[in-house]
Amino acid sequence: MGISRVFVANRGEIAVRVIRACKALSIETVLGVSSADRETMGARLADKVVCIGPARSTDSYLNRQAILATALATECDAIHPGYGFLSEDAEFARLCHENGLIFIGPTPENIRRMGNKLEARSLAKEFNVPLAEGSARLYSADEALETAEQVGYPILLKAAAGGGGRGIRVVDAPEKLKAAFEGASAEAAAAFGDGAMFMERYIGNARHVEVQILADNHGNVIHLGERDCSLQRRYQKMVEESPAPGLSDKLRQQIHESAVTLAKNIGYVSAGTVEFIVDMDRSQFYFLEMNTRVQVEHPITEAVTGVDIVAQQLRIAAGEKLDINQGEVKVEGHSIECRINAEAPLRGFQPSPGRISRWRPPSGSGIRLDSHGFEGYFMPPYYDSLLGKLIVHGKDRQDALAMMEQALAGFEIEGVETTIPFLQYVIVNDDFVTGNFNTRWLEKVATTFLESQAVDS
Amino acid sequence: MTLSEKDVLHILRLVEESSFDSLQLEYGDTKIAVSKSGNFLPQVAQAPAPVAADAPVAPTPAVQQNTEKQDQSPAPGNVAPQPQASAAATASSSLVAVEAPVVGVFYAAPEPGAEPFVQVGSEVDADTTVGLVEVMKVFNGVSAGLKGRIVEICVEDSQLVEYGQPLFMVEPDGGAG
Repeated sequence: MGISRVFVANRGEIAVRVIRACKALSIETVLGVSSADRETMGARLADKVVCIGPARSTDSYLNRQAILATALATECDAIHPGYGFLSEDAEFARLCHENGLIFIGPTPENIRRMGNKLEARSLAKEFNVPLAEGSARLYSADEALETAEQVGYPILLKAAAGGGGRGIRVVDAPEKLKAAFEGASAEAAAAFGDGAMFMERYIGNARHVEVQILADNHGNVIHLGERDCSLQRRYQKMVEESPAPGLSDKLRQQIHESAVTLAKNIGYVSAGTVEFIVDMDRSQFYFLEMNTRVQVEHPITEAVTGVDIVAQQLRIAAGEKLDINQGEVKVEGHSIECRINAEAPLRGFQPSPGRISRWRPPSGSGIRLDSHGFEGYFMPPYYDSLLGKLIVHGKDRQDALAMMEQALAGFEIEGVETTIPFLQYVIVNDDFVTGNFNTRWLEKVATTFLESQAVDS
Repeated sequence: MTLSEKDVLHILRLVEESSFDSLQLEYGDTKIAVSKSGNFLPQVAQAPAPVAADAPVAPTPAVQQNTEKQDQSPAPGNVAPQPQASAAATASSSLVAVEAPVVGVFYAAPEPGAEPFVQVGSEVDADTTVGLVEVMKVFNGVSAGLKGRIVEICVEDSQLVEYGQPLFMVEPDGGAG
């Protein structure tokens, strides 16, 4: 392969995932760590570890210059950015190329165009990918009021540069629009340096369905089926599954085709994900955005298709052609992922950092754990709370649910609080088991969970 | 006369299992101070670290500082977290390390072929430039940070240095050894 040493510019479970994928392909790894992350699993597994800065991520994992300098000095030929941090930073991708380093991901142009939701929307429209009814950029609250009259309340206000739930507001009445517009715009300007806003029709009974794309430098684009990621709390996904339940074959196929069409037409390269909102009442789907990186929830797609997405990213970055075609992609069985976060569900999902004093993960056929946790590991308070992802692969959804129930029950963690008790509550809930859920469902379940715990104790 | 890494690990284990809170040991030129409740928590790669299990959930700045102190492993390339014997020894010595303020390439002289900023024996003030660390063509001057005398140069010219890596050891003025 044309890549012999990869600089891993990330931390936590995804750093471990990337290092393992590199090892399997006989690629050496250099891991850049902050001073708080020297004694991590990634640091144990990497061939070389360099401390690139202090705990604060703006000075370490987000420090483009420090990462580039270290990657060059350690003679790496490529950088894997993981997800988050610099993974969707078009300027960083450009600087990699400028310095002769391969950025393991899409082109800077891909990242830039899809990173702006307004531009992504106009591209989707150009290539006939369905868009939720909405607007172009809105320059004022008054303009938003006029547009909302045409679209019809409730509406969704969104920041063009938004992400992670920031810069988004649901507005159900005209008198609330002005304050929501100004608040969301200011929030986006502060968080992303861009206060541009637009509007979409709000879909009440919605599912979040996304399509995994792989594209090489030779014009080949395939999809690896879809994932349902409707179970979100504060726009953070908690449970994901593949395939998505409750879609007709026709709808599923249309969603796949739209995703491939968009990726092909924008000249997309590497692994990426096209996100859609599915209106379950109308059986229609709408383009939401494209994520130009490997997703946290990629393992469920790997489980049902047998394709190693991170290995594919490495091969594509090395200039190789995809070694599978669309006809060879088969979705088998059903996979579910639960995110194990170091959070205290009973205390409003407050982060719960600390030292893990007991760590007994479940294991067995069809169970996979992607985690950087181990007994004795100190989960630092500086970064996100994801401690691991528990993935099961069963012969069907019912089978997968039963496996997940057992796996969660068998996962012993002490020293930090985790989302496991909440996840156990969620996956046996009748609505979830029967597929009667939407993107607002998990918030409600979080409330009933708290009530049930209060009664129990 | 020196203690091996194994010796230090053994000592740490003995202290851990004992009812004593702290231990100070002088062996030849090596001094070791170990404390269960003190500010520095010597962490050993394989030992279960019972001390730290009782650590507060969110580390205070003091603990964080301590973590960085433990980062003084001399070579950038390592695989497993190393036993921090050297940090324990440094803690009790009178020498002060001048650490790299950023990750990058260390230069001992202002330009190739020029005289180095300092040599062993050079007297330095707090604001004396002792070296440069280059990060993508940006050169960061490194100041000694204290008044004293350079007694050791820990890195090579043009070498990659990690954030926090000791570059020089300085004997502070008036600091009795």
